[in-house]
Amino acid sequence: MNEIREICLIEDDKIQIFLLKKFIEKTGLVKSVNIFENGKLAFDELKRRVDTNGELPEIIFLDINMPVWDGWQFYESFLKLPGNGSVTTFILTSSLSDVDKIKGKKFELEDRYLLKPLKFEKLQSILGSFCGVMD
Amino acid sequence: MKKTKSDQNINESEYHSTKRLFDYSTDMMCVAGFDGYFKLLNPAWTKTLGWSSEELMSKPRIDYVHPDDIDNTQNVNSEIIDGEEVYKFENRYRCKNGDYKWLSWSSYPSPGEEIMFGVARDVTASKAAEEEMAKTFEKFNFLGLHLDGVLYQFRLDPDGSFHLPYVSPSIEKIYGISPADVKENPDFILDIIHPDDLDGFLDSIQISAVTLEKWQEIYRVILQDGRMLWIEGNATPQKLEDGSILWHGYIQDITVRKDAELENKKLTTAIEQNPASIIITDIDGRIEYVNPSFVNLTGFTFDEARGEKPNILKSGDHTDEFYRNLWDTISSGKIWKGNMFNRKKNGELYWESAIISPVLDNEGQIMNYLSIKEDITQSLAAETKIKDSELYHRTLLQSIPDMVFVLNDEGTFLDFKTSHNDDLYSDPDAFINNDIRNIMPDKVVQKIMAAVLQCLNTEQTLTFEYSLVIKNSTRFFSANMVSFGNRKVITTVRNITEYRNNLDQIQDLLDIEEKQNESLHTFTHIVSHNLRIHTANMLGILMLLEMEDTKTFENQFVQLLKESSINLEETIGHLIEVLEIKLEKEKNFEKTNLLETVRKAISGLQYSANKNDVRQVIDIPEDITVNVVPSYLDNIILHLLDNGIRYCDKTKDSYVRISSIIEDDYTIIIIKDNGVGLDLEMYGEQLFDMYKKFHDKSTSNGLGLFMTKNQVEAMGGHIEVESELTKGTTFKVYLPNKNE
Repeated sequence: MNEIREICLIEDDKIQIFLLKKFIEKTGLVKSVNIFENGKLAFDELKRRVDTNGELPEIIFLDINMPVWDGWQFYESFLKLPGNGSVTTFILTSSLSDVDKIKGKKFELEDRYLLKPLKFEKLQSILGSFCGVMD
Repeated sequence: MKKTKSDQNINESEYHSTKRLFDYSTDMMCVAGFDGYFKLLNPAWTKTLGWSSEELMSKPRIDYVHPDDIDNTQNVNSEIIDGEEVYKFENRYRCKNGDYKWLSWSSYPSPGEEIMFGVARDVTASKAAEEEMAKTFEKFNFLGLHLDGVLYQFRLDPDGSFHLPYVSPSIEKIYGISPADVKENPDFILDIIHPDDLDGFLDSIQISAVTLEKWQEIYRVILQDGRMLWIEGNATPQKLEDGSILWHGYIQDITVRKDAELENKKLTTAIEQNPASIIITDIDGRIEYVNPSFVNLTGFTFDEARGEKPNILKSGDHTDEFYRNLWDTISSGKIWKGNMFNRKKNGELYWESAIISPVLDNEGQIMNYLSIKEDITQSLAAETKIKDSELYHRTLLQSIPDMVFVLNDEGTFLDFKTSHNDDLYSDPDAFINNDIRNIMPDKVVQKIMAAVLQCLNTEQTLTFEYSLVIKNSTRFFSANMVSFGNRKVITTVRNITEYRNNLDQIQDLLDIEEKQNESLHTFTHIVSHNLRIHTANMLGILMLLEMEDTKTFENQFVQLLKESSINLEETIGHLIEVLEIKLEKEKNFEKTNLLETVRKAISGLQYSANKNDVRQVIDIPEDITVNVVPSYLDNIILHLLDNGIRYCDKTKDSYVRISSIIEDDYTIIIIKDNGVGLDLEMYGEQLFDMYKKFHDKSTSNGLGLFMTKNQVEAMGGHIEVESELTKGTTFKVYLPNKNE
């Protein structure tokens, strides 16, 4: 089974960060988790990596409702970065709002639209299948 | 008298005969000497003049001649002495008794013997007659000159030619030709006769010539200056011995009379043929004349009406006062006008308008009364109709609260009406016949006049608004302008100030609602993100706790906390769903096959139905399509079927049956079960409220019917419920067919 090298968690809520980090660690499938507290910080870092030929993470868990840049602002810009196709982005939101669901659909993320609280089993199966696919 | 001896014997008897002739002749014969004395006289001289021969021969002849004739006589004597013969020389000789007698002489001279022979005839009588005639003739001419007409004689000879032996000088006055000229050229009198009258004129002369009856003819002549005259001729014919006919006559110019006759005829015709009925009465009011229109209208003939008073038409509808007023008016020489309600001979009643006027003679005295009347029964009815109609429209106009005015294209108010003087910029009396520019402020004038021109040019109804500051507050007016008649517009104006203010208030309310909606959106956002993140976190922490510290997790308090967290999450979820149904402005309607939707729901509920032993029955035609938000319809059907299964009656052969009917503008989906039912009297009003639970079943979350109702209504439909405890429940979902 392959290990996931890096997951980016773009999330401003401390408890969510804590919970997700815990769950991800518990799966034992991920080598490193990088946290960005808003979309702008995440984009700046990823752009820097692209500019310096650094590696992009395999998976991004993206919250929507965040200060500075929200999830959608980030994703829109991120899609313009070269090499973004190698990254799988999951929306992870507490929003039940249709507005957000429709936006997700627009970005073709409707299959990767996760609602908080994310159950451990769900996370495990997502990351598991991800590793399986990697085989 | 010459005598020779040789034929003395032979001539003896001849002499005696001659002597006898000489002695017995009634003419006077004489032999007179050149010396001025008679030499021989026959007895006729003494018989005629009374003088004896001796007396006559004793003096020069000239002594017996009338002093006035002496010169003439001596001249003639000289001529005779010179050898000329004289005939019909006339002079007067004095008689013995002092009278003078006219003698007409024939004389010839015998120069050798210095004597003359003369025969004189006493022509005193015929001379007197002649003189008398000349005098008469003179008088006659004089008379003729002063006559308006012409005295004349007209002679028609057997050979057809005609002459005018006498024409009085007055012909010059009428025909412009002198008597001498017309005698010279008698054709003149035929030449000037009007061509249309010439044949009749000639015929009448022929007839008079043959019958010798009096000739009488009226004819026209056309004078050289172009004037036409009417001439009346009268003449008496007389047959002369030579077979010619002589008329003694008189012609006169009757043009004036004829014109008057024609004029009279014209007036008579005008009265006779007048469509108005005309009555002429004497001063006592007795009818002297009625025209045919009167006869036609009233049914009374002329003969029946004549001598009667016009009160034969009296209907009895007018007061005595009315008639008294009429009489007072016309008998004082004034004209009376008015309408009368009268009765015809057959009893039929009618209205007539009458003008009755006195007819005055030259001295200004009333001779007659003239009444001209017109049947106005019809026009009165029409007038009443028009009056009614006008009253109707006027009333209509008065009854509408709008201000109405009529303007012409120059901006003059032709009519004006309002019931709200408070809305006026100017005094209400200032409008009619005044120019708009004198009344309204320039800005409004420009707007209105521009509208007037556009309205007149396009002939379309125009609506516009304007505002005026009246009594320190701005009033808004909405005007409707229509063109009519000859370059005029009628405009209705409504004060819409209140409406405008209301509109502002409505806008305010809309703004408020918009704001509230926005806050609701914000609230939804807060709920869905900021609030929900905490429930998500709580649940996440509990999940982590379950994984890492099972013992603590199983603590009863933690379990209660978990249950509350789950409930809170669900509640928030519902809340968001409801708010989103309410807030969503554009719903995505799609044509959806009802049967397919139902089948999907039924298969989804099959497990639950089997478990509860409830039959699901579908009675929906395949081709029913509804225009809906598909996800809403899914929810509605799923929920109502689930409801039927959930509240089944375990003691019965349970079923839930779904059917549809199309009624008017709705497709109605009916979901009927034979479950436990509801006491609608108790819960009816609350059935669809949020968080109302009517059963103790724990599976109910209390939001289902509320959601269902909201979704149905969000699609423009409504939902009805019928239910009875222990009998079952029926839901009817009405979905409009016209959803866009």
